[in-house]
Amino acid sequence: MRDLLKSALAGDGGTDHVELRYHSKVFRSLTVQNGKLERSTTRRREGVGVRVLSSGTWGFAATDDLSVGGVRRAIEAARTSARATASLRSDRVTLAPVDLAVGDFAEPGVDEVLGRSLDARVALVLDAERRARAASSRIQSASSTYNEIVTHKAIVTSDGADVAFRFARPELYIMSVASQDGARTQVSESVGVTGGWDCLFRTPVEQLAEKSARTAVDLLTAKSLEGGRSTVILAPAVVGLLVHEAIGHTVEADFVTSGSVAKGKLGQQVASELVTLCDSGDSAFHTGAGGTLPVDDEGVIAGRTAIIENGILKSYLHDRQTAARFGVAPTGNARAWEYSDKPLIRMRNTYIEPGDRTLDDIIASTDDGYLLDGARNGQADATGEFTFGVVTARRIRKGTLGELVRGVTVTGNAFDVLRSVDAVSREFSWDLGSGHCGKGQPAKVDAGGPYIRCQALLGGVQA
Amino acid sequence: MHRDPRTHTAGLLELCRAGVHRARAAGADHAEVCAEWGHSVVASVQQNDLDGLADTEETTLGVRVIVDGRPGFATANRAGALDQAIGDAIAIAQATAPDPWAGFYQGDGIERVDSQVCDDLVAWDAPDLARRLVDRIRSLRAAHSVLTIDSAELQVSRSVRALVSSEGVAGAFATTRASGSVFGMAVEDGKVGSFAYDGDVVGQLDHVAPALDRAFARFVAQAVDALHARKGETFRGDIVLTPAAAASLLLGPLLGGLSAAQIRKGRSPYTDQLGQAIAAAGLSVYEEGLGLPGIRACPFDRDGVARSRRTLVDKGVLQGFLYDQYEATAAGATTTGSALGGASQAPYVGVAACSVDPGTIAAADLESAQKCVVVPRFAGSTDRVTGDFSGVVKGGYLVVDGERRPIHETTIAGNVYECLKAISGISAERETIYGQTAMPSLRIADVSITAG
Repeated sequence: MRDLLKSALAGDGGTDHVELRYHSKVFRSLTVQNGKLERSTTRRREGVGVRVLSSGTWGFAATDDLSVGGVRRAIEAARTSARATASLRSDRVTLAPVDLAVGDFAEPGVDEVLGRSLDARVALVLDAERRARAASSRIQSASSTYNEIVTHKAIVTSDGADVAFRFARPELYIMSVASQDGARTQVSESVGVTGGWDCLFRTPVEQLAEKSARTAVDLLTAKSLEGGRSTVILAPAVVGLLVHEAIGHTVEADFVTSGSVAKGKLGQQVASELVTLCDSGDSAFHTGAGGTLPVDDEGVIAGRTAIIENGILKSYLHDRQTAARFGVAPTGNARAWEYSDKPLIRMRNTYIEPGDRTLDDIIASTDDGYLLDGARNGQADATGEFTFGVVTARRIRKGTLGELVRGVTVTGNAFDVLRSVDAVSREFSWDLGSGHCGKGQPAKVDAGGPYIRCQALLGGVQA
Repeated sequence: MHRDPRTHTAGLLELCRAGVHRARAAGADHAEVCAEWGHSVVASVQQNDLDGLADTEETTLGVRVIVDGRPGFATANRAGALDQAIGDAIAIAQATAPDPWAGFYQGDGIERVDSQVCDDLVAWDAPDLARRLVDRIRSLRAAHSVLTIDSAELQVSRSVRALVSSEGVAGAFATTRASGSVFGMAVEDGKVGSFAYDGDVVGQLDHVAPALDRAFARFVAQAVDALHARKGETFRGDIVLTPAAAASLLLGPLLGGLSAAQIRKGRSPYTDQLGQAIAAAGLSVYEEGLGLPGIRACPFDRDGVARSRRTLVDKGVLQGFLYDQYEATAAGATTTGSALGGASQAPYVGVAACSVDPGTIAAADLESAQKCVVVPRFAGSTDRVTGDFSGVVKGGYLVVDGERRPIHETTIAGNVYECLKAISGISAERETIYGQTAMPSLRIADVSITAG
């Protein structure tokens, strides 16, 4: 595909910046419920997205015509759009210079995933669902879903990017619905990686199924929490959601330009000295993080960016346009979900680096609080205010874990929460690999970290 | 390229017929092909400045087959990939156990072609789209200097859907739509307010300006007021949900619970509740299968079944469930024409559009309680099995003795199914949300409210 794009570009005699991105996605999905294959889909989508920067203004066109002529027509459509609207733009767009990627890249696992038979995938979801349903007599129903996205991209630009890369992203969800005496609960466990099944099932299927079922059953008898401000220990999944939703979005440079709460705070202490927070195209500490990618969709190498280092805000996340505006190097965060989407500044794998405490030690030194685990439905605000649900909250009294509490929402201002961090564990895991981020278009991301202890507002039921 | 979607109708129908024929030849006992052509132009603003125009054209195919009683579905995005999609669908069918409920709706063999096309939207010039958006954003910021627009879009889309099956279904519907949205916040003296966003979808060019006037006015009120938000109060009491918040917090779970698929899977609270009171006596909910005034839905569903207007809840009493062909077969019922999905999706149960009857109380009077919280937007999580919800109020207000002030960091928690029964007021005014839901404001009693 690099050759197709280069041929299309070779015929372009203009002086504009032209970016061509071929993008093929094969998505497979199977869902089993109560022993029955409910849904099975194979979806193929491919095409070329074209951006032309002319007269300081972008034009974009997307085509599913994969001929040289088709791509050239899309280049002209994008150029026409840019020139027709240039007079409406106040600031001319410029791009930061950078060494652009050249060559072929492939993340591990692509061939292994493609080599799996459809029968093997069907057997996997049937087994996962059966295990959850069989885990307890109180499991009323269960379901499992296996999704897999195999991506192939090629990017060629008029200023030197000439790169192709492939990756596979399999994920598995298991949901258990428990019931007893009219009460019902449902709990979903999931895992998602960039890699093959060997990487995906480092957490065995039976363990995921058993945890989903056991938590659903345990929550049947859990009481609701009375809301209020509290000391909390956040598990890696919750830390991941916090750093992604509540910090990560506020440091995306497009959003900083709009006036996010992180604007003007570079060099300032915004978190506890115990906090070093990064976003990376690599998978730090453990391989296979769900947002891993070698190159972004502008052809920039997707390396590690330290956003907060020992509590000091060090960097925003950039594409080439915002990097030029801020006078810094691009950070490789330009990503598009489909060929028909324009690249936007998106996170990859976002995390807090591990500390030197153990989880046991942190719990033992907590007089009164909650251990929160299992993240769901995160949202954050321009102000840094965030809210998300946690599946389980376990009471801590005088250093000892106590009863389970259900249905908790955590709310707070992310920077206030990070300033309140007084303990960071050495245990680390990625835990949002099955998640997607939404910003006008989806993006596959991952997030995680250690266990951290901090202060937050828990939304509960008032008596 | 022909921008008028009607010019693509015959070609798409022919593509579907060819697909059905080739799927049968490849071994399918029954086959259905859904094809969609779409062309969209989007003008976008990012960070208060024009980001550019995006022009996208695509054809999408969805192939459903049944082989020896085994269903398969696959989709691809290029007409040239039809054989690949047929092969994928048959491979899935062959790897699947026989399903006694799998089957296609039995059509009458009559081809039905329909459209709701606005010629002005067909002809709408792309640079004019950008000009209108930029002018609107500039005047908005001139009038409210504290506003910063993170992103805004104005879009025109032209599309056709065609559906042909081996069981006598053949139809096509062409349409044009315009939509606009704005997302941003207010910033003043280093203080940042909460996000606000709003938007709308319309079917006629002359509806664009009034719809955006209303949406942008709601956006401005939310964004500017949020700048002055202060701490709320912790109590148990009334909340007032604006139409958008009521639709997302209550109507979504209600409609989900009426899906025959959720009932079959044991995930609905409404099993065996037909004829029972499931909501307050003032609440009446309708499936608007033919769409809302001014914005028609495709007259046939994803199975090819004619859509209609149906009463789902009448004065609080449950009147009916939602079935597609598959769920109707599974339940021994008749499809209600409630199959959703585009060409790239297998059918699933849902409503194309819906409405809730207005009440008799002026929206402003819903806030007349001694103390209540007004919820323009809810950000949180809802367990649709249990109905438990918990989340934060966005752009909210605390009203005490008629005095309204913006609040932040305030969460609400409760149960959506209990809230439906605890509706204590329905506004006389309704808003149409993104062209799909006609919804009044609702007042709900006895909700748990926690301030940070």
